[in-house]
This record gives sequence, C-alpha cells and structure tokens, in this order.
Amino acid sequence: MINKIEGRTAIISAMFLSTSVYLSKMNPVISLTIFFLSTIFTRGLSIKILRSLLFIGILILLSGLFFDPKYALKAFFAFIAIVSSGSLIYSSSLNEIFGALIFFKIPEKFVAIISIPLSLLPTALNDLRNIRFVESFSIDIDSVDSSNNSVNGSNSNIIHLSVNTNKIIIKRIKRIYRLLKALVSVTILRSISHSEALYSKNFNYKVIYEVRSVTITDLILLFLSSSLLFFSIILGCFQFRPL
Amino acid sequence: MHIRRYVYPNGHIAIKNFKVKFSGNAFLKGKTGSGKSTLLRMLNGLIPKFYSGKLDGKIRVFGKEPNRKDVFFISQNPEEQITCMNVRDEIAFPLVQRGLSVSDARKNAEEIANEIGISHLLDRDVFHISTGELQLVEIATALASQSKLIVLDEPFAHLSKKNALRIVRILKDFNCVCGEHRLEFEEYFDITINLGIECKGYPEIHVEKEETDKMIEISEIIGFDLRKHELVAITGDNGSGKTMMLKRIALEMKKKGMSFSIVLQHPSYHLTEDKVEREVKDRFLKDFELNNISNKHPQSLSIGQMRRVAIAKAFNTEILLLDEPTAGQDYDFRNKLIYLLRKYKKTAIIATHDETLIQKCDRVIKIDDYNNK
Repeated sequence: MINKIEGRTAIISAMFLSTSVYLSKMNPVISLTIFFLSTIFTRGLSIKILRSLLFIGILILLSGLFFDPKYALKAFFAFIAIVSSGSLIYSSSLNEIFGALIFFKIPEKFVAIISIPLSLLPTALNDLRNIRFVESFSIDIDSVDSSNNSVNGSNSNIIHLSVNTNKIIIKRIKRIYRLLKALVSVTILRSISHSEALYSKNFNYKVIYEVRSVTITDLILLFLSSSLLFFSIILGCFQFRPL
Repeated sequence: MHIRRYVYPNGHIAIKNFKVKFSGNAFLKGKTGSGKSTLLRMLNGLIPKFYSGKLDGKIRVFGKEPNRKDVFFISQNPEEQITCMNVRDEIAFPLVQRGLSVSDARKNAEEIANEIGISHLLDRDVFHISTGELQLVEIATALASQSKLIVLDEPFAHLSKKNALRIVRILKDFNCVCGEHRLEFEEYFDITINLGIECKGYPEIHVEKEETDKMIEISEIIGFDLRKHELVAITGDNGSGKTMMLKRIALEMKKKGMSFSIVLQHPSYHLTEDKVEREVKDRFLKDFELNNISNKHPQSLSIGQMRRVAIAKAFNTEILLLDEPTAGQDYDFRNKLIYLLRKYKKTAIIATHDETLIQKCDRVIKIDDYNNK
C-alpha cells in the first residue's frame, strides 16, 4: 500500500502534468518528459495502460496525418502524455483518491456517487474477460451434429470446427455481435442487482476513504510536476505569437 | 406474512394465498420458480418498493412495515452485491452507511471475519477471490450489519459443506430466513417452510465406458485424462481453484482442436439470443423443463432457470465442462442432471460442492490433494 502514490499527490500531479501538455502547446519534449516521469513513478503501470489504449493513439496519429505529419506526431505524443499523467491517479489507492476528493472539499454525496461505479469497474472487466473466454469456445448451434461427435484423442475423431475461409469475416463479426449482446445483457442485469444491493445495504451516500501523510517519493513527484508546469508556462509564453 | 396476491409488473401472478409466520431461524425450500426469492424480497421491502408490482396483503416485520434498516437481504449472486474494492471495506460498508466511523466499522468487520474464518481474505480485493469466498464475505457483511433480521437467498449455493456448516452454526444466534435448495442443511434450522418440492426419481443409466486406450488426453499440464462417457467431479474447498482448473482444461482442449462446451457459474455469460428456444435445441427443451418458458427472453429468467438454459445449450457438444451446474437448482433437477448426462452419453468434468452430484460421478478429483502433489 505504501508503495502507491498518495491520493492527493496523485490528483495534483496529474492535473499539473496534463495542464503542462496544454500550456506548452503539445511540446513533444514536455510530453515525453511526462511519459518518462509517469513511467518511473507508476512503476511501469502507465505503459500497461498506454498499451491497452494504443489503438486510440494510432487513430489520432492517422487522422492527424491528413493535415500535417508534424502536428500528427505532436498530437500522438500529447495523447501519450495525457494518458500517462492520468495513470498516476490509477496507480494510487481508490480509497485515497476518495479521501483526496473529500480533502479538496468535494461534497461527500458526490464522491459516494462516483465511488460505486469505480468499485464495480473490475467486476465489469471480469465479466468482459469471462464472456470473451466463453465466446472463444462457442460454436453455432446448428453447425454441430452431435451424433458424429467424438471425444477420442486421435485426430481423425476430433471435431474441428468447420470454418470456411470465405465465411471467417462474417463469423468474426457475428462473434463480436454475440459478445456485445451478452455484455450488454450482463451489464443491465448487474446494474439492477447492484442497485438492489445498495438498497439492502442501506446506502446513505457515505464513503469509505483514507487520508495518509505524504512520503518523500510523493514530495519528489510533486516537485517535479510543479517544475514541469512552471517550465511549460514559460515555454508557452515564448511560443505565444498574438500577431 | 399474509399475502392474498402478488402480481409482477409484467402481469404474471407470483404468489397467491400465502400465510406464514417466521420466528427464530427459518428454512425456506421450494422448487425453482416457486417464488422463494420473491417472498424473501418482500421481507425488507424490495418488493414492492424497489421492484413494484401489485401486492395485496399484509407483511409485518417485528410489528413494523418491511424496511431495510431492520432487515438485511443477501441475494443469490454474491458478485452482484459488491460495493467496495477491498474485502475489509466490503464488510464494513453497511456499518459506515449506518453512521459508524470507518475505523470502528473496520474493527467490527475484522471481528466478524475472524468468526467466519475469512480473516485471511481481509486485505484482498473482492474481484480477486472465488465466488464461494465472495459468498462468505457477503454473509459476513450481513452478520456485521447489526440488522434485526437477516434474509439469505441461497447462501450455500457456492459453499463447500465445511464452510456451509460453519455458517449454519453462526446463524443459530441470529434471526434469519434462509431460502435454499441444499436440503442437507434443513435440519439445522428451527422451522421449515415448504413452497413445494418435487422429487420424481430418475432411473440409473449405465453407460459403457470405452477402453482405456480411447481416452481424451486433455493434458500433460493438468495431469489427468478423461474417458469417453465418463463423468468426473472436481471438488475442493472454496478458493481452492476449481474454476481456474476448469478454465485451464478448456484452454488445453482448445489447443488440441477438440469440440466442447464450458458453462461458467454466471449463466448470463452464455445467453446471447432473444428467446430460450433459439438458445436450446428442441429436443433438449422438454428434458430441461424449459417448454413453458421457451418464448421468454433468457436474460429475464431467474438465475436457476438461466443456468438450466446455459447447460441445455451446452448439450450440443459431447464434452461438457460445468462449473457448479447445480448451484441454484432445485432438488429434482440436481438428480436429473446426472440422468440427462447419462441419457445423452455425455462426457463431463464437473466442478462442484454438491455431494449428491459427486456421489453419482464416475471419478472424483479432490483439488486440495491435487494441489499438494
């Protein structure tokens, strides 16, 4: 727990770093510095998050190429920087983030409302993983004639899914459609049941939160992110050309 | 509780002419779809305050209108009860909502966790523990809540016998109403209310096993092979890794290009069509007693019925991997499942706590022993 970034530090640093991207007018040096800083302080977690969101970055890069390759690259780096700075919050404990929000005088009722869906996020991800797992084995109801099925280990008797190469794309689209249908259904059912659970548990808009004192690592992060913000302001002023 | 009539919002009559008085700890039994969950939800006002519908009758809990302050309700799917990321906070959550300080609530949570024997889970994330362990956490939440009455909907469905017995003994000190299909625990309760149990009895079918050389080599990693038409039960305590093992077997079989179906504990993962009849082949509809609901949307059914649809859907292949298939199923279906597996000459690996089911399988693999190897 103590290895994680303290909640208030995480929020302030993330704000400083993402503001730096904007104030420096998406300067690639600033963006890359933010990326390295976040990678060090989140112990590589930011790279994992970036990897999962890489497709959005590539979309930004590709769409930017239609206008100006230089701008596309700047926007791509800015995207990396924004996601990296956001990962600072993700690398902190959720209870500390709630504690930080209450410390910054955000109403407890509001924090309570956002705390519930955030706590459920891992369950939703588990659902997605399980549905993908189940769907990866699914076969069309009519494509199997169980009278011919065999469970024998020899290859001649094993049923291989009859996949016509011409139909692969249609099958994949169908699979994604089925996956989405199952996910939406599960999510709706989960929402109803979760609201039932909140009713039963007497939910009264109270939050379980923590506030702990900052460590030397947190102070270093705060110092570096505020320095970067200061530097970005100067950089932005020099780049500012009103006429 | 005196209910003249309760009609669901969709117009379907759920309960008619029902009168009962609960006291001490009560055991509520009945077949799937008999209205157990509906009755239990009436005790804390979820019905009709949350689910609406028309209720004609009178319900009093300790002389008052049903309310959520006096009555704590736990539904049958523990994953749908989660409100916090961490086990300690999950147990403390209702107490904090009642106005207790976070530190006091956590202290109470630790005491209850010790009593139930889940103190080793306190620092873990709720989504990293097994369904059975999560069930224990949610029961701990109810016990810690300081409610006058605890209402539990199938609390033992995912629990090993050892854990279930421990819970039953603790519940003795509480006022509780427990709707359950596992009748082996009925004797531990003060009173039993029966909403109708069917027990048809099914003939034993003997299926010839193939010679040992005709085995399914499911794994060098998993370490056991499966014979054609064989029913293998995987048992073990909660959190021992039964589901994980089943998933590993599935991946192994997929690698070998084999055709099989897997049914996980949460049945809605498997249901993607808009009608039951589109999910399940006609010949299985009758056997699984799904005729009456064949036109319904699968996701609108009760958990027990959904699981039945998911299993029936899996019957399209010859090899089945079933994770707790009898959880939430009535006494009759628990006996019928083995009969159907034999009738259709299926080969199955079943992860289960259900002792009736285990006894009828050809081979039992205890995962605790397996892990110690």
